[in-house]
Amino acid sequence: MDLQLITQAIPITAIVCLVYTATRFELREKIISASRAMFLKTLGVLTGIYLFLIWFSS
Amino acid sequence: MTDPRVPLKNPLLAAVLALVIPGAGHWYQERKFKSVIFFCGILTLHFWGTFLGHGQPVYSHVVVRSTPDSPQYEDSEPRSSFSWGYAAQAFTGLPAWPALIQRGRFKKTDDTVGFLDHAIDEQFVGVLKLDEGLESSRRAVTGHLQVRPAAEEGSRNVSGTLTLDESSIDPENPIREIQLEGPFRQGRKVFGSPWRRIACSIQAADGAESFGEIEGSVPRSFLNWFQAPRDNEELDRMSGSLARQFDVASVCTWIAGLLNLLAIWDAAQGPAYGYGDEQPPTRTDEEEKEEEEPNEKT
Repeated sequence: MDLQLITQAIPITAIVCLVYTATRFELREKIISASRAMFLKTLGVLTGIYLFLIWFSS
Repeated sequence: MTDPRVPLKNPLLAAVLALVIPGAGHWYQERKFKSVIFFCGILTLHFWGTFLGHGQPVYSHVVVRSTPDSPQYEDSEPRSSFSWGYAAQAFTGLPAWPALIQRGRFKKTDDTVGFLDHAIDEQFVGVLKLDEGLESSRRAVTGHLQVRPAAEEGSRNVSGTLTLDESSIDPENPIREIQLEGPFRQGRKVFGSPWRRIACSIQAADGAESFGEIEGSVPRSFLNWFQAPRDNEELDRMSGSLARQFDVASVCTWIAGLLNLLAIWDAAQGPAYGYGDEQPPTRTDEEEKEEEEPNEKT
């Protein structure tokens, strides 16, 4: 179940980043590049939190 | 100030369209790339959440239980409180607005509680309660319920049968068909649970004396439970069967609504950070200004 929820989190994060950056900019290239950067940063932070929680609970 | 290159047309109309259908306001403004992103992104999140939560995460009110009995049996409007999650979900637009219609239907006095005006022929899940002399017993059963009102125009008394599934037949007392007759109760027509409460008296074999009852649920039609107000018992049932998946489902629908709020703002006022091709001021520009200022002073 956990793995399933984590797998779902990736496309959900991608959608949220794309829609959010679309409300920030108008230019197509800027929307795509900003959403890509936001997606990678968010995924990095989430992975970091996840690894910390695994370490903390072990 | 909005960039003149962003075609806002009539911003108020665009905002209203964006509120009704995500992306519709931007389509009207001919900002079609963003329109497709909002339409697909926001509706995917909303419907994905609805799918994950088995159609249950969107509702406007939660019923407050005031008696030990289930609020499904209350014929007048049960007391309820606003669900704050809906404040976010409502911004998704049309896909979340049936909850308001269901709320309106839910508020009406329900004449069908304790009154049957049509035959029921449904799958039954519930409990069989028997009073046998000084002893009483309860056991979970499933089966097929067929009841009809005592009078053609409808009645508070019914007659019918409950045919038990093989797995529900007691080996010590292998009765397959239970005769039902007498007072009848059923839950409200509109309620946020796919299961409608039902209770009916059991007729003894000789047909003379009631000696127990069945209490359980039969399926409620989709149009009568989808996005309707529900009680904590139903929310507990969902959390029990779906666990964290129900929380994720609810959060998805909240985020969808909040993102559409940003999209509505974008339709009315344009993008928050500008067009996207603005260059940040460079060091050379600043240096040039600094160089110019002392010259002007001298």
